[in-house]
Amino acid sequence: MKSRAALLSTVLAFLLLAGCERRQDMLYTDGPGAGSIAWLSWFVFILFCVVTIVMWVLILGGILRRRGSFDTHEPFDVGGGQGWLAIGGFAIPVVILFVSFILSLRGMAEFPMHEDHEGHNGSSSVAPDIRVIGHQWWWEVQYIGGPVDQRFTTANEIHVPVGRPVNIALETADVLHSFWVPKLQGKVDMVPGYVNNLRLEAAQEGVYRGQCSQYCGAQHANMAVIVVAQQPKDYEAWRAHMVQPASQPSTPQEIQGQEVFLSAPCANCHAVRGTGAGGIVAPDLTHIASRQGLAANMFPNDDADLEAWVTHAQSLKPEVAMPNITQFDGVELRALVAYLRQLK
Amino acid sequence: MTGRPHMVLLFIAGGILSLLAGCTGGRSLEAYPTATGGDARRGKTAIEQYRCGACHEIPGIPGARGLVGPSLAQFADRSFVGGEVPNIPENLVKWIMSPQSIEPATAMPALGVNEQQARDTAAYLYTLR
Repeated sequence: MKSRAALLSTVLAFLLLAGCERRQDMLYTDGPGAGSIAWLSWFVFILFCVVTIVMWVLILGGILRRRGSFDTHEPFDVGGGQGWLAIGGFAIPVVILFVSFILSLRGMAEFPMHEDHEGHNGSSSVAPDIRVIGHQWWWEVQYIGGPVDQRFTTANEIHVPVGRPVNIALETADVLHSFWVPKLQGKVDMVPGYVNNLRLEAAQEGVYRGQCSQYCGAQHANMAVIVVAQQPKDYEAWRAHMVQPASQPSTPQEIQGQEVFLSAPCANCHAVRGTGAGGIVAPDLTHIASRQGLAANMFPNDDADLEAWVTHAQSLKPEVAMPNITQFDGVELRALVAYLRQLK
Repeated sequence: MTGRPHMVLLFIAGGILSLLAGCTGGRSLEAYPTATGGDARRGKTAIEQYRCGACHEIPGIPGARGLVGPSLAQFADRSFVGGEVPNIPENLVKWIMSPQSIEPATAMPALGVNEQQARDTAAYLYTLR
């Protein structure tokens, strides 16, 4: 009965796993980095199973191979078994550990070692294409590759071209965070006062989700990032658009919304390139309407959530840096949201 | 030792009771046909789709705990829509589609809800007693 219950619960556990969403799956990967880690995981797991089976068979053999009887014990063979020790206790483990070590090194090659991205470490240093800075609780994304006029800052959403490795410098503005998009690449911590590097490559088009994976405070669980892998020409078009300053409001409501935005506290923390709003402590809103999520991808980016977020962020994401802004009347609030929603 | 089987039975009974506690006791979404011309189950989907819960507390909608607008709990028993007009289906449908047509200065946005979706949404809200 007991074993049947165990079997049943195991089957149930697997059924539950089968129901899992695959958006953050580290075993079903879409990038070479995560792929090599997944391969290594399977290799180690299968090796573990084989070794375990061999060991249990040997233990079972030792138990069943009766020497002497219950009446007369045979004396211990203190001199025997050296061959077993030499081969089973030394040679085979050395081979297994050595092979695992080599394969682990191969996996580690997917992670560039720590390099000062200013290039002080010599010619091997790789200039990063993107700098991702962890904040409590959102991701600042700076595209810093290429000429100065092609650089821009966005947040919580990283676009990459399919099939091209992208070098990312990982930093933090406050506490420890960890950048992990499981389907694309392994996990790398963001350490205060330190730059870590990560090479990310997506093999297929798609939207890949990642989450902060180093506990960083109250809203750690709601600090998500998405990586949008696009065909190179779509990616270039996206980049060209992101470099542009914010679109100008056109309808009377949007124009009123811009006035509300610039006269309210919003601009103290947020930037909208092309306007007087230049705050840098909160996500850049220049193209906020083009992003898929709000509040580090905690909510979908739509009229309802944006209006709620502007006036009552503290109930939606308690302790977030964004305050409840309750100084607007209904008309002003709707105008403000209309303005933000046209920042495509 | 004699107490063991009783304990087991007690556990089973307790388990079944806690399962039953999850039942709505027949208070299903079809239980309250209303004059909205909408379907409450589709309304639930529409409410989730338009993210009404970002601003309103709405019983039965996952994550709908917003504090921006009023709670919609017991909405079927409320007297007014938007603090302006009597809470009858036609007013509610109009309010959901275009709140500004009733109260021009309201903070509630018109989210592009079409008439059928508004009727469905109203049907759901009238199940909240």
